[in-house]
Amino acid sequence: MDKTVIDSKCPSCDANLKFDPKSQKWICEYCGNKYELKDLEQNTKKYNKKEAKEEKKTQEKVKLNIYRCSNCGAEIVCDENTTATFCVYCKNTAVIKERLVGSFEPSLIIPFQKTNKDAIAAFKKIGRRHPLMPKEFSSEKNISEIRGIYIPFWLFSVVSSGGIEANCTKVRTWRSGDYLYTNTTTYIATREGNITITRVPNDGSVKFDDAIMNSIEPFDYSKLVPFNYSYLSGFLAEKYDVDEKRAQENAKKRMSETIKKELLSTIHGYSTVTIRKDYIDYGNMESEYVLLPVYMLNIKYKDKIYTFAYNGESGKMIGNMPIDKKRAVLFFLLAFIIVFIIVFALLYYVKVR
Amino acid sequence: MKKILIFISLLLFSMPVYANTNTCKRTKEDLHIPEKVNYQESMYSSIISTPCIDATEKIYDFANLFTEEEEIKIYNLIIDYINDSNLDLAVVTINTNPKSSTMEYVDDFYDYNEFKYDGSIFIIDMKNREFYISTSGKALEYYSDYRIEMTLSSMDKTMMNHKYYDSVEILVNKLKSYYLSGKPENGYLYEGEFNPYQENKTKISMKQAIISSIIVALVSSSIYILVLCLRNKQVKKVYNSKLYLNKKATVITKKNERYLNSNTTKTYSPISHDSGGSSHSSGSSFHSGSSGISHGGGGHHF
Repeated sequence: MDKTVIDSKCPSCDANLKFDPKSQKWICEYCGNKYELKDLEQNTKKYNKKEAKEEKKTQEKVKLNIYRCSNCGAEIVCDENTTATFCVYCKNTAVIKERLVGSFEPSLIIPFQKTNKDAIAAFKKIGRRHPLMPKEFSSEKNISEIRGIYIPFWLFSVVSSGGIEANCTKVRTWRSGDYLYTNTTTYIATREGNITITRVPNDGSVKFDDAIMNSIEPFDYSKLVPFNYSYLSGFLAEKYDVDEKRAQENAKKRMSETIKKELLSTIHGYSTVTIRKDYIDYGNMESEYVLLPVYMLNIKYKDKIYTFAYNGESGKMIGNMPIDKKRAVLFFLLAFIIVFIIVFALLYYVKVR
Repeated sequence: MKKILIFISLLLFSMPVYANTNTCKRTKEDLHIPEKVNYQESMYSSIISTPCIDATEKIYDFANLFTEEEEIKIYNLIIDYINDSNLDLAVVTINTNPKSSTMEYVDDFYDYNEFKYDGSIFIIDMKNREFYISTSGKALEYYSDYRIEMTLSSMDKTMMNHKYYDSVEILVNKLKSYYLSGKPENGYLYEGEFNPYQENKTKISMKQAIISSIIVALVSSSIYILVLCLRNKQVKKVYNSKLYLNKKATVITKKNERYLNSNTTKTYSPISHDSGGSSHSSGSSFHSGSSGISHGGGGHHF
């Protein structure tokens, strides 16, 4: 069992390897060689034996959240949940393999499909679609802070047996002389069925805002591969701190809404339908603990922090942007003048006719 | 034989003329054309068939619908009106109509006699069962299609009941009050059919144009800016899992509906007989009479 910070090393020149999202392979920065996962697995086995001696020294330090960088020997301080971080001195990324063991070892991972450059390009693009965003927002200084992180998620799948009872009405109106007649007939509709929901994601990390994680959904699950810590090199990563039970409760809330709606959609031909009773049995819920790739960017503007998330698989970018008051006024005036001229010209033409 | 026929036809033609009024005779040599008319050869037949009367009498009761006292009262009403408005006015009643329509008769009657260029004439045509108002000159401007229509409508009842004197009294009063309320706002003249309910489309003042442009521009730019601002708030918590629903795997195991109850309510809602707000036209339609002079006005049947 390894308790040291370990990087994937190049089998040829022993330099640090970084995972390249474009090619989905590992590239050595020095000799330029590309490697696939199977090449690395052989290499890391050899390396582990070497580092066994270092075990005792680092054991205590693990608990204090201090690690020794394997490249330059500096001590890295990190969050207790961080499983991959980078050394502030030599910019080397380090995977804290020790934290990825046992129940904390993810079963699956979607490796980054988008590169850092893609994220930066996407961020610059939003400036165009949102003219009211202040210009300084997409400045180079802010953009350079973008970080690729593997965020822990719980995925829940279920074949639920659920049922609803609804009050449905049929309304008819007709007129006879000076009187309007309205007839309302009420029925009770029952629907029961088996509704299948697969892999609802639930953010497994407390420190990442659930709303932001919701907004960058969905991830393409066909890109999931069996986990290997090598994928983490070059990126940051976290292990989960939201336990499975709690995540499951959140997932159930999302599921119940969809199950009810699905059953409701089978009721047709009524003027109004209102659910008055529902019962759902989730049965055996399947759960998977996975790592999903996200680029995060925090920008401080006028004493407020704005968080942007870029889905590292789909490329969807989400964030709340501040509104530059001056720009808003400018655009308002511009729109006002243009519309005024057009409308006035039209009216004038009609009037003078 | 021929001479007798001609004499009789002339007599018949001049019959409408004989009704306690002073008349003159139109001859080829002297057609008694008033100055306001620009004579053309084509007008000859129209002129010769129009009675030549004394324009100062104002009331020409050829159909004998009024008593002597009524005629005097009408005359006084008309003179009052003329003094107040400076517009001419005449009232004619006929039993036979040699012309093709009431409108033609009354237009010609007014044009080819020494009535003022600006004025109106009212006719009760017993032959066509029509009563008609014809306007010319300034009267055309004062009495828009809408005003004419209102006047005629107010006389419908009395005309139906053969109360001819009352009808004329209503007429003169209406014409007077319309005159006193001035020319219709945004009035305009247009050659065409009498249409009192036509939508007043074309005229808006400059001030109205500016104000409406400002309002439209304000509203639309506010909406635009609001949309842009809202676009900046992208982060939303999701409360469903619809993206993860496997719809194809949905299996409905129970499906039924059972009847619960039924009730009927009755509300009183009478159908209203409002005519709906009619936008008043301030337009006066006009047509050209045989004399070339433009006439406005309209008529009703009774």
